[in-house]
Amino acid sequence: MLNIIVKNLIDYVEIDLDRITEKTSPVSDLNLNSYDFISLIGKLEAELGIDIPERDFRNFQTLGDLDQYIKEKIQH
Amino acid sequence: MIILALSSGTNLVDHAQQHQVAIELLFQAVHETYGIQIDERDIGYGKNGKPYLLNYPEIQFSISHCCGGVALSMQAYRTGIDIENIRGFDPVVSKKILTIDEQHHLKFSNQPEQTFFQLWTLKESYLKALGTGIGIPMNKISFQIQTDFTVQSNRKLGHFQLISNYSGFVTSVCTLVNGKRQLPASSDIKVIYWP
Repeated sequence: MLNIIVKNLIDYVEIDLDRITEKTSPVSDLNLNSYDFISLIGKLEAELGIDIPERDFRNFQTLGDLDQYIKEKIQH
Repeated sequence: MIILALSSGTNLVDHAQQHQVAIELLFQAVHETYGIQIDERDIGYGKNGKPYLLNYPEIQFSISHCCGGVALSMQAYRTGIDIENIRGFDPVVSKKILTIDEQHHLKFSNQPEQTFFQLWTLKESYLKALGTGIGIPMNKISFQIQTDFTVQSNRKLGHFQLISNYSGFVTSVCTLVNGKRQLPASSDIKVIYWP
């Protein structure tokens, strides 16, 4: 799932793919601002056919948090 | 006091530099307003990375940065600030975060990008003033922007100031005041054009 997140991330920031891990913070490590982040969430929702409410995505600290959330969402 | 540092070139794009400039703006604002000289040793960071003043908890401030711009609001009340450069926006996001009335306003705007980021920054400024952990969906926070950029909102505790449009940037400031009080005259704006 992380690869799908990263594929969408590159629309917003130039990133060194080798340095992306589950611990990467989209805000402090990748310099994504809040608008870019919610836009990324919208793209993931459309691609994966899921809904990620605002109350949930504001709690994501790392790409791993987002990755885990999406995995659980798809399983249910 | 509100201070904006705006770059018209390729400066202020690095996150660490933006943050450092924001902190220096804070030092300047504290010195000019209170006559206190502070430095890095006076800054603490919450677990969410949000900075605060270790020895002066009564000084309320908020910082924001985006590509090419840095903004600081320092007030006597809880405050939140958000700055964005005006650019294209994702219609999926606008439907997600705007009220029906705001979507209608956006649809008929002759400057939709500017209108979208006006509304976006107003909502962000309110959420930042409230602090993290307050889970009010953005589409429950509504605004009406008048032609003179004054703002009306369904959030009665918030005093909102929209600064639009300085060199392609939109900035919004929310100060949480009791509705019966007048906002003190601390909302003067300084703009620094960064090389």
